[in-house]
Amino acid sequence: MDRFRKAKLAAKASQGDTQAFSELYGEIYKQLYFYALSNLRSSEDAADAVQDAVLDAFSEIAKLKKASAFDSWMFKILSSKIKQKQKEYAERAAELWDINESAAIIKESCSFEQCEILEEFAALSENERLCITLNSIAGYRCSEISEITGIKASTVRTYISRGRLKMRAKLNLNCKEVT
Amino acid sequence: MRRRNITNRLEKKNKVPERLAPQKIKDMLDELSMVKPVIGNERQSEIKLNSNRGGILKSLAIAAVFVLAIGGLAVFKFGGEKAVKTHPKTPTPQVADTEGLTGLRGGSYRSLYNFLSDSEDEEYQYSPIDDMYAYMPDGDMSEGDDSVAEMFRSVFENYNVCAAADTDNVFDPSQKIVCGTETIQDQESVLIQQNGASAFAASYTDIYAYKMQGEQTARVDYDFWSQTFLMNTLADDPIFEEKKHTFKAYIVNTCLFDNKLAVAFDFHLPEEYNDIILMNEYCGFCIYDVSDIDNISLVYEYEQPGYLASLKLTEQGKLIMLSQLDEADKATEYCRYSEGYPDFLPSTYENGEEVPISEDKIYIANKSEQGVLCMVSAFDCSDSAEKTGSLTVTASVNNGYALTDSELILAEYYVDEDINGNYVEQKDTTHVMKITFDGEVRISAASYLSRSQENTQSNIISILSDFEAVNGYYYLVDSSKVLILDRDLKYVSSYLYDIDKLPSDFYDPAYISTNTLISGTKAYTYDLISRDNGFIVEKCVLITDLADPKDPKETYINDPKDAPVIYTADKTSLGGKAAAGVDSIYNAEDKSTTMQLAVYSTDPSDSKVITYKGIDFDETGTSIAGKEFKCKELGEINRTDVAEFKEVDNVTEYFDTQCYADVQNNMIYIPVYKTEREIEEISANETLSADPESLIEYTDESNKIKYKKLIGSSYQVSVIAIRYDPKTLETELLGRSSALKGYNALGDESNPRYTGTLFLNGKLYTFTDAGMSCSSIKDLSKVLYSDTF
Repeated sequence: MDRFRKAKLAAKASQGDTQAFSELYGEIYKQLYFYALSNLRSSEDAADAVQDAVLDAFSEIAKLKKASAFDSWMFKILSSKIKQKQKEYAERAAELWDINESAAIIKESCSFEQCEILEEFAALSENERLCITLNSIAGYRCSEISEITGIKASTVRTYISRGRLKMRAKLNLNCKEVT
Repeated sequence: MRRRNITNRLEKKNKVPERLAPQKIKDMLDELSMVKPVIGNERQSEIKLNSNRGGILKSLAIAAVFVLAIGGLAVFKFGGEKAVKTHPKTPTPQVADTEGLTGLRGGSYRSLYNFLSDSEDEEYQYSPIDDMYAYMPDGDMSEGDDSVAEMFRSVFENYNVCAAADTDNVFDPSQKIVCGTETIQDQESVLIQQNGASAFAASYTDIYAYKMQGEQTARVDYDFWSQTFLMNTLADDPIFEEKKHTFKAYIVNTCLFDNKLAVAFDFHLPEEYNDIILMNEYCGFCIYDVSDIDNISLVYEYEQPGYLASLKLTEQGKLIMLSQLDEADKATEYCRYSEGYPDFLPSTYENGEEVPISEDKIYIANKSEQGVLCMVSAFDCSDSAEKTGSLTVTASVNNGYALTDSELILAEYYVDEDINGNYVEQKDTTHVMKITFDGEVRISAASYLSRSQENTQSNIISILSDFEAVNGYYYLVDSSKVLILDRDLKYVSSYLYDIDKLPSDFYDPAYISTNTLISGTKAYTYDLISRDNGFIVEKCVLITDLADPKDPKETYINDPKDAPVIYTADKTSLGGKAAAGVDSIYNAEDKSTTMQLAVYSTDPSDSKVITYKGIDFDETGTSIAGKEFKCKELGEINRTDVAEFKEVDNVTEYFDTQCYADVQNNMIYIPVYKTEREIEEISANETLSADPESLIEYTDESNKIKYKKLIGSSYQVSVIAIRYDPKTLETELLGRSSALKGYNALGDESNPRYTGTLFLNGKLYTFTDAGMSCSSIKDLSKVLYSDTF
């Protein structure tokens, strides 16, 4: 979608045009879902997070200053929804046992290898997980991740690079890319 | 494309829930906006009254609770089972149709990957530097060579930095105007032609607009890059920030047409492939509506991979863009291909929208010397610009190409080898293909030409140097051979002159440079004439009429006076069939250099030379028309003088042998340069790397041997203006502009940087970064010639 069309759609959406909003959303909805899925326990939770983010975004779209920033703005909203959900996981888990960050993202049904990868992934810092997910799952460039997260772009690169190195080292992965 | 690739891969294993589909989301939002009760599954209960969402959702939630309270029951399921509208998917062909195109096959991403990765030259070692950049060292450089790393780093560090930092030191930027040519062709001047009330100037990296109001010019406050996707998005890559460099797009050329300004540029985009960075070559152009100089607007923008080989504006108002991507095979080293859109194939961008290269528009040659891609795109600029077609083919422009308004001929020459890798002469071939732009961009013909066809040596084209399409035939010239093909590029005939029959009594045998060019159906074989009346020309010695390809008719020219002139070196087009050339003659007796200007017709059947023996330049700088132009000999330093530390006048002026033309105003400009030489002391160690010719050895007072080195710098200081009659080709010297002093941002005097010259309404405007001078043509000979030299 070129930026001229995007600007028109954003203008219409800010006036309550659901068709325009759904078109903007349609460009990135898969990435939104996979981003949520990689950070939450189940597809249901991920879909919920996306829907909640959509509702928030639609109500607040009049505040969007640049149409070109729609994508990163949606991801920001979704990120906060994901964090809320992860907090709920942690709170629920804390009722039964000690808070374990990895439990927040270990999926309900995982193979052993997947669990191992996710264990190591969970051991990364929050920012490393965030940047790697946005880069490797949602496919965003470092500059876009910088816009979404507010982290400086060079720092984003560092997080991604460092996070991958950590996982490679721990899992002795031979492949070049970790997704 | 990386994003799409990842998404496609993930979607195969994780289906996106139906309720997130855009239509479903729209329905959800529609339902909410109509305040329908939203009792449903437990997820709906998550719309909490105490949420922080403002506006419509709060009121909707309240309404929902109200409905609940009343006891009504309504069900609305988010993500229900009702049918979702989907766009019908038209099946797209995955492979291009290559029926009848000899030597080509329809490509897919997979086959293109195989082709490019197989094309990698085994001599080159692709080794990353610092785990960051991929580079291609020379054959004997080893991995981890620090000096190579430093070299590459310095190349990258300097590449995107604007070379002329003094663009920030402009003394008076409001008065810069330049003149130029009408069409964009290859690497012509970046000067832009004024269109009457407005003018546009281009440096390597910036464009400036001016409102022309006689001698009062005003610069228009408009940033040509500000609205572009190029600068706002593509340039915003963290790699530049990380390396503390500035992204730069280098302007290749510009032109004005139909109240529009087109600006073509080259740039690089870094792309990360598994932690290795490759700098992808890109080119592009922007079209601006300049009908109202006070309200310039960007109307179209396009970028595609490859460096710009040609951007042609046709008479039908189309733009044809030809680029060559040299680096795709290197990218395959780092990004293995499995499925989806390939990472090694950069996308195009049209008005900011990423458009992948379509698989069904990829053509792969059956054989190629190198893994190089050519991309051809066509645009209709008659109204608002739009792309009408594009294709990508594994071919190169390195062996020459011919581009007309309707066709592009690419010729790729192959040296064939046997199974032992030995060169086999008889197997040399040329692969020619024709790309047409009638409606869509397509390859309409392709053919192999082999040396073994018939019995002449002229059945292959190694370097396509000239081309004509006449009477149903294509005439391709390879420096001396003429190959005649039919419209399907099938071999018809060939012609090569007999060198033993060429008249030898009026050309210098020391200059063996016989060449052939084609004009219409006639081939003109020409040779160098030595110092004919003091002017170096190339004259035709043989004319061959090839109207009937099977029956060439030869005419030999025996008298030089009857020979048409073909001056091909460094000529400047004057539009149509006229050109100008500047040359210098060195007189060994008085060590003077004479400048000569020739204005001539490029139609060999009607060529004549007008030689202008130009202005007389003496040390005072005054101008006397009609005499030979002489300037001081370039820098012959008396070494004895230097050894005795005498002051030596090292300042000389010379003119360039490349002139430029203002076709609209029938003007020719010849830049005049000033060179200054200085002598600086260097250490004995430094002499090891210095040019021996520039070294001066002397003995100091303590009888120690020391060294000095000559260094020189040249810069343009003036321009000679000549007007020509396009009909008679007669020339008239108008005069020479004055030089101006320049100052840098610190207020120190610096050499003014010339940005151009413009002849308008009887006045000659000369511009440098020091300001503008405006001279009346009538009084040009009296223009103040600066005595600042």
